[in-house]
Amino acid sequence: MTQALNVFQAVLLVLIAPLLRGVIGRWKARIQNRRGASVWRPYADLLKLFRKEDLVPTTASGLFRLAPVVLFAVTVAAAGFVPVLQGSALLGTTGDFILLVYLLALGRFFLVLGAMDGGSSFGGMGASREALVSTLAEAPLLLGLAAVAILARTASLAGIVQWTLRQDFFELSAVHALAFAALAFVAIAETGRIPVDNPATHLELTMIHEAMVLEYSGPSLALIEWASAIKLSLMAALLIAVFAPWGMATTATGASLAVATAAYLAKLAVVAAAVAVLESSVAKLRMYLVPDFLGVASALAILAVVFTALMR
Amino acid sequence: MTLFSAGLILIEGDAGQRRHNVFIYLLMMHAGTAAVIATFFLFLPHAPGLDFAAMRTAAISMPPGLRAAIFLLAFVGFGTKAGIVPLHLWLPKAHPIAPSPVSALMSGVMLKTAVYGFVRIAFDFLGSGPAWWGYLVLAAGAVSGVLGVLYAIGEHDLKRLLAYHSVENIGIIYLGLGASLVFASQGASSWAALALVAALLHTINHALFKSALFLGAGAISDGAHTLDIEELGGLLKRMPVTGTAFLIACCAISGLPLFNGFISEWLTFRSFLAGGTLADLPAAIVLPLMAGTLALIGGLAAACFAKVYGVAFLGRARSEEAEHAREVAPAMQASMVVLATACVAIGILPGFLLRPLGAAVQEFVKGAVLPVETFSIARIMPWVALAVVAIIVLGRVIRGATRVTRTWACGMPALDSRMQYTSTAFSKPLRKVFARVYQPERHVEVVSDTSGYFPAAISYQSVRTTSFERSLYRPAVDAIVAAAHRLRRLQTGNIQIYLLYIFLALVTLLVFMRFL
Amino acid sequence: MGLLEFAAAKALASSAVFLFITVLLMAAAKRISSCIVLFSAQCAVLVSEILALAYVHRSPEAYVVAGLVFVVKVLAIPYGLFRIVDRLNAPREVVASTSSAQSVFIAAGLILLSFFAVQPYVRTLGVDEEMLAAAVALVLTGAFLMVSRKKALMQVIGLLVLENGIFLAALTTTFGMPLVIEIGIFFDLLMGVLLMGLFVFRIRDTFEHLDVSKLRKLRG
Repeated sequence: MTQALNVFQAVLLVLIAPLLRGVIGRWKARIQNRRGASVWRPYADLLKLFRKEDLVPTTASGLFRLAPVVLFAVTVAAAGFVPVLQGSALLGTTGDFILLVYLLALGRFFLVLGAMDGGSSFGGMGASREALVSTLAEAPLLLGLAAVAILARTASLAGIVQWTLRQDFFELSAVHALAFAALAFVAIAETGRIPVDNPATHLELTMIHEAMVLEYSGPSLALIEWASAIKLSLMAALLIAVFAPWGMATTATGASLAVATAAYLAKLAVVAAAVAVLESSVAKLRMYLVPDFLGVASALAILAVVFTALMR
Repeated sequence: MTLFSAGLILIEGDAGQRRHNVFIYLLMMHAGTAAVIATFFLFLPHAPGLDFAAMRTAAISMPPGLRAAIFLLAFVGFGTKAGIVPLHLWLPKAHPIAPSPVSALMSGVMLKTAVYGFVRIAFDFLGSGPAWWGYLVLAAGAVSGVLGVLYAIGEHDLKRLLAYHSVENIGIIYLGLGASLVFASQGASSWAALALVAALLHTINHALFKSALFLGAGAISDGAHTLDIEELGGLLKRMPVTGTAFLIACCAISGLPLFNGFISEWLTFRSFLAGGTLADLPAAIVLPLMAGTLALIGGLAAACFAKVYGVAFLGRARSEEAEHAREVAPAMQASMVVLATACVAIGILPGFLLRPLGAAVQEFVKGAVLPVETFSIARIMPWVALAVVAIIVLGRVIRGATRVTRTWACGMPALDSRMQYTSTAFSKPLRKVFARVYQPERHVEVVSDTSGYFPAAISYQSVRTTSFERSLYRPAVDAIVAAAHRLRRLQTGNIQIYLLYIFLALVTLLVFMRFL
Repeated sequence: MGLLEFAAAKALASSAVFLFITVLLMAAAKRISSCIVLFSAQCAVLVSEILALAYVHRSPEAYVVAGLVFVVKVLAIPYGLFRIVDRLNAPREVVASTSSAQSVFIAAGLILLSFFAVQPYVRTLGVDEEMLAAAVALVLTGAFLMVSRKKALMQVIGLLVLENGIFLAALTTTFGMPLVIEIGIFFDLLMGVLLMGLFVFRIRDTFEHLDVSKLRKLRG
C-alpha cells in the first residue's frame, strides 16, 4: 500500500507541475491587472510541442538531442525522493537529500553542455550565467537541508518529515526560520524565478535559463520545459515537506489520504500565491547582484548550522 | 619515483622553461623527502628496527610533544608530495609538461602514494591524537580544494587545468582524512571509519577519472595537435570515442551521480553530517560547515568541466587543427574506454569496493565498525540508475521527425566559430565574483590614429599570477639566499683560517665532553 | 493551560528568534522604507514580550509601559520617519560601505559574538540566554548600522535599534526600569527623532546631499 502511494506521489509531482506553472502565471496576471491565460495552458503548450518536429543545428552532435532527455529523466527520478502525501518516498534512503541535490546538478550539467553545442553566443552566455548561479546556490541548499537534518538527528527526508510531525506546531526555532529563509532564496535561484531570472523574457540582457534553450524546439523543448516545471514543483514540495508537513497521512486509510491530498494542494496554493506576489512586486536583480543575493542565503544557512550546535 | 618521473618528463626535451619547472619539481620533492626522513629519524631511538609493528608499539609510549612533532613533519613532508596548498607549487609546473601517460601516472598514482604514507603514519602508527590534528588537516583540505578549483577555472591550457584539479581532489581527500581524525579524537570510531573509507574511496576514484582525463588530453593532443582549449571545438563529432570517454570522466570528476566521484563525495558529506551530532561544540560547528565547503568545491568543479567539455568538444571548431582532427589509434581509445567503464561501474555498483575498503579500514581505526548506513548508497544507486536509464531509453525510442537547420543568428547571414563563447568568457563571471583570490592585473594600451579621436589599435593583456608565488615563495627564497650570502663570509680561501676552524671545533668538543 | 498563558509562554519563547530575523533582514535591506518597517516590527515584538512578562509577573505598570512603547515606537516614530523620507525626495536606497551579503555575514558574526559574550552572565544572573544574546545583538547591530550606512536617516535608525537593545537588556535582567525612567527615555527618543528630522533638512539644504561620509570636509 505504501509503495503504491510512493509511486503515486512521484507521478503526482510530475503531472501537477505544469498546472502549478499555469496557476502562478494566472495569479501573476491578475495581480498585474490582466486576465491571464488559462491555468491549463502549459499542458496545451506541451502537447503542441510534442507534435512538432525537432530542429537540430548543423553544428550539433549527438549530445544536443541527448541533453533534454537526460535532464527530464534525472528530474523525474529526483521526484521520487520527496515525501508529498506521506512520510516516506519511493527512492528515499539515508542521505537522500544529497543525492537529490546532485541529481538536479547532473541534469543542469547536461543542459549547459547542450546549450554550448548549439554553437551560438546565446547558448554560451546562458551556460556561463547558469554556471555562476548554480555554483553559488549549491552550498546554501545543502547547508540549509543539513541544518534541519542535524536538528532532527536523521539524514533522510522521510526522517525529517517524521521528526517534524512529532513536534509542536508553535515551536518556532531559530534553526528552522534561518534554514527556511536560506532555502527560499535558493529555491528562487534554482527554479529561475524573479528576482534571479525572468522565466518569460527573451531579451539577451536578462536571460539565463531561456538563453540556454534558445536553439531547442519540438519534443526536446517540451521535455526541457516540463523538466523545469517539475523542478519548481519539486522545490515547492521539498520546502513543504521539510518545514510544514502537517496533514500528511500517517495511516493508510482513505480518509487520511484525502486529508493529505487536500492539505498538500492547499499548501501548494500558498506557495503559488507567494511566488506570484513576489514576482509582481520585486524587480529582477542585475546579474552581478545575484552573487550578493546568494551570499545572503549562504550567510543564513551557515548561521542555521551554527545555531544547531548553540541552541541545543 | 621522483627521479624516474623527472627523467620521463625530460624525454620530451629540456628547453628553458621545462628545465626550470623540472628543477622546481625536484627541489620540492627533495624537501618533502627530507621531512619524511626526519619523521623516521624521530622514530629511531624508540624503534630501532623501524618495522611497522615496532613503530606502532613505540608510538603509544611517546610523550605528546614528540607525537605532535612526528605528525607535523609527516604532514608537511607528505603534504608537499601530495600537493596541498601552499606546498603545491610544483604540481602545475611539473604535471603539464610531462607526456600524457606520465601525467596520468603522476596525478593518478604518485600523489596517492603520498596520501598512503600520511595515512600510514598518522592513523596506523600514531593512532588517535588531539583534535587539532584533525582541524589542521581539515583546514589544509578546505584551502587546497577551494583554491585548486578556483585556479583551475581560470586556466585554458588543458593539462595545467587538470593539474590544478588534482590539487582540488587531494583537498577533498584531506577533508575526509581530517574528519576522520576529528572523529577519532572524540572517540566516535564508527564515524571515523566512515570518513576514512570516504577518503580512501576518493583516492581510487581520482586515480581512475584523472587518468582517463589525462589520457583524453593526450588523445586530443594527438588528434588535434594542440592543448589550448581556446583553439579547439567540435571535437565530439570528429573524435566520438575519445569524446564519450572524456564526457564520462568529466561527469565523474564533477561528482555527479551515476559516476564514481559522487559515491566518495556522498560518503564524505554523510560523515560531515554526522559530525553535527557530536557533543563537542567546536567539532559540531566545524564539521557541518565543511560540508558547505565541499558543496562549493563540487559546484565549482562542475562549472569548470562544463566549460572544458563545452568549449573543447562541442560547438564549432575554432581553428584549422580542430577542424581536421582525427580519431586516435584503437589502443589509445581502448585505454580510455576501460577507465570510463570503471568509473560508471563503481558509480552504479559501489558495494563491491566498499566492502573490502571497510575491512581494510578496521586495522587503521581501532575498534571501528562501519555504521549501518554506509551501504545505503550502494543499495539505492542501482535503482536510481535504473530509473534514469529507463526514462532515457523511453525518450530515445519515442522520437519524432528531425530536421537539420542553421543555428539562429538573429537574422544575420552566418555564424562563424569566433562568435561562440570562449573558455575565458565562460569563466569570466566566476572569476569576477572571486576576484580577491585571483587579483588580476590588466594592461590596456591604446594607440590612437592621426585624428586623435579613434583608436588605431588597442591591446589588452590580463595577467594572473598565482598569489602564492608572490607572497610566500619569493620572500622565503629571498631570505634563504640572503642567509647564504652572509654565510659566504666563512669561505675566505685562506688555508690557515680553515685550519683554525678545525682547531676551534676540536677545542669546543673537548670542552663539551668535559662538562657533559 | 489557559489560552493567555499559552500565548504568553510562546511569545517569550520565540521572540528572540523574531528579533534575530529582524536583525539579519535589516542588515540585508536595500531600501530605507524596508528598514523602517523592520524597526517597527522589532518594536512590535518587544511590545508582545512586555505584555507576556506583564501577564506572568502580574504587574499593571508594565501594561502602561507596553502601551507607551506601542504608541511611541511602533506607530509614532516610524510614521515620523516615513514623513521625513517622503518630504526629502531623496533616492530611497540604503547606501552602505558593505554589500548586502557582507552585511549579513557581519550581522551573523555579531549574533554569534553576542551568544559567546553573554555566557558568563547567564548563570550568575539567572536569565534566559537567548533574550540576553538578542539584546546584545541588537546593540551591536545598531552600532554596525551606524558605522556602515552612509545616509543620515540610517544613522537615526541605527541609534533606535541600539536603544531597543539596551531596553531589552534592562527588561530581561531586572524586568524593566522604574516607570519614570522609562517615560524619560521615551521623551528623549522622541525629541531626538524630531531634532534629527529638522537637522536633516538643514543639512540637505546647506550641502545639497545627505551623504554622511562627505561631511568629512568639516576639518581644521
